[in-house]
Amino acid sequence: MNICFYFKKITLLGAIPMLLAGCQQQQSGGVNPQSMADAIHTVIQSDRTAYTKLIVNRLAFDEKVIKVSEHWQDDKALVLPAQMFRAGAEIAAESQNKFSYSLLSEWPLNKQNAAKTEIEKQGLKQVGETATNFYAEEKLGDKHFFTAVYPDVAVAEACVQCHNKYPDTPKKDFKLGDVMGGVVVRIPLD
Amino acid sequence: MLHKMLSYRFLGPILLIIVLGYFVAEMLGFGFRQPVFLPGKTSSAHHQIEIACDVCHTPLGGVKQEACLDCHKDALKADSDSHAIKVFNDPRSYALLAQIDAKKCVTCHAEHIADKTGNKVASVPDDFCYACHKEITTERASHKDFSMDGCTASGCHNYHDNQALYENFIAQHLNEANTLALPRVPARNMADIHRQQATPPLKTLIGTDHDGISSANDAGIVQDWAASGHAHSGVNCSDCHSLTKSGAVAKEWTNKPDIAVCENCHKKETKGFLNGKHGMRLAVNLSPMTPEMARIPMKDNAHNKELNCNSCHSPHRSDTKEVAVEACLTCHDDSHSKAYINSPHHQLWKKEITGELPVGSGVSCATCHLPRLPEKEHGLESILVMHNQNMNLRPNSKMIRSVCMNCHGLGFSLDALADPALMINNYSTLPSKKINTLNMIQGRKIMKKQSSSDDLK
Repeated sequence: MNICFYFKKITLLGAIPMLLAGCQQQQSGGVNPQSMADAIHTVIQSDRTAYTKLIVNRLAFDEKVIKVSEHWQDDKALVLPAQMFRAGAEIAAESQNKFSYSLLSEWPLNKQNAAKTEIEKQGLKQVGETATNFYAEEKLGDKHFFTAVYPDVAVAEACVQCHNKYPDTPKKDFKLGDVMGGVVVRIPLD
Repeated sequence: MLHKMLSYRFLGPILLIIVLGYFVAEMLGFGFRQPVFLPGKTSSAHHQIEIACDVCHTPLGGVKQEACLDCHKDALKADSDSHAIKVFNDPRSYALLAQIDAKKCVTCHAEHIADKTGNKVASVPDDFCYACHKEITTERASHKDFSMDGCTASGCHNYHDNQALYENFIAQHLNEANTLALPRVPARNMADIHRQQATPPLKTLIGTDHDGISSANDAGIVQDWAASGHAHSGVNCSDCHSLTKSGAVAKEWTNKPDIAVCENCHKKETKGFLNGKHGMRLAVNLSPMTPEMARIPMKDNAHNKELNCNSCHSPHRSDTKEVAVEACLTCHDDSHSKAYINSPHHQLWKKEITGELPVGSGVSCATCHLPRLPEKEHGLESILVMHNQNMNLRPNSKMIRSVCMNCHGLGFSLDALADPALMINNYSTLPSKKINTLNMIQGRKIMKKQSSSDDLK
């Protein structure tokens, strides 16, 4: 089971460099931005789900052997899944500029994770209402981007409980399986 | 072709004019590098290295971000930087960056620009937070009456380091006493860890074990060394005074080992020293800092002392008590330093020295400015002296956790650090007013409790 899981993960991670190479050839019939965004999202979402279920939900909620905390350094605890997501996105953005990703929501606990651009607003609205992927192009500053927004679903009880109970939460009635926000993947087109 | 020939023809005279201009400028006392290329006064500490333009400037490339990080990245990491550059790499930050380019240190820390660089740490207007956080006065009822130029007031927020100023931390430290029940400075433990981990086990050396050359066999030196931590940890004369031990000792003996010798064993301390105000000139291959170069008042008779490890640490006596006060006051002569002698902190220090109070009860200059910080690696916690005083100097809220809270409650620490009069009198009187931060967090705590009990109804 575990071997199978890690094999899948390695395969998915291995797909990224190939897709990056492919994207450079898009004008000559290579991988198009949407396929690349979809593949990147598959890796992101798989890792996110694995961390949430296998680490946070299992150890902090079921086994109760370690805490999960927003202030993980001071509390010597696991990082929240959203913080894990953000840490990965920041590392990826430090090492390359061929794509970027972020986790946003119409009901963000951290206000910096609310939609900022018009496309983000439209995308979050669509994934929230229909749970379907949203694709568009947008211009940020003087650069053009292909922007994809994917539904981010509550995959474990931990997601629901924390978001509903957080002191400043704008929404307190999430249920397992609800769309809680959107994963935004951006690919520069210039 | 003619164009090329003309270029070559004029190249020589142009170069000659530049070279002659340089010497004329130097002779007239302008200094080629300074008034010409330093339009404004450099900021605190950077003035020490202003002559070394290339430390910050890349020829024809301006000031690269890496130049700032070469010296300051450890401090930013230790601060758990609230506005780390990596946060702004996402293209969705473009609109914010268009207002204030938070990816570059020089945006807020303009250097030697006449109408910008001043005594304050940042060179931007006090309400710079407004560019990205304007919604806070409407989103948080508690902030509705606040002015945006007060965000970074002492006890409120800090752009980089909020480790002592975030809500949960403050909530855990409400209602603490002004002075804690057991006020103690953490004990250093690196020598113990070194002894425990050494293989083969270290042998404590005694006076007759010394391997110094005969001309250096000064009885006083040997006596001091034998009583030092170095002898206790098996460090012999040749370990510092010669590059190799035994046999080659006499040939390679040096009377004044340089900083690299100290660094062999004290890597982190040396790194801190070189990154701090005392060693930053050495770090960029300039002559050592001297008190004469300082902008703050220094004692007249200390002006020409050169700063290296031995300026504060007697070479053979590892008496850190002497280092922690006397060494500082040999040079420093500002009102804060002069007020220390009559401060309550110094009274505690004197009592610790005489044994009236337990070890760790006293407060020396080093207690606050070269604090003992915990560091955990491989499950082992070591307590090291941070030799880079910038790490907890400005803004002084950086001292809250690393220094003040060893002995004082959070509320008292915030009040004291926010009082400018106390900075001058070396914390000899009680804070004149209370900072509202703790009350605000208390209010939030009540509000949250109320809100969760409403949910249960």
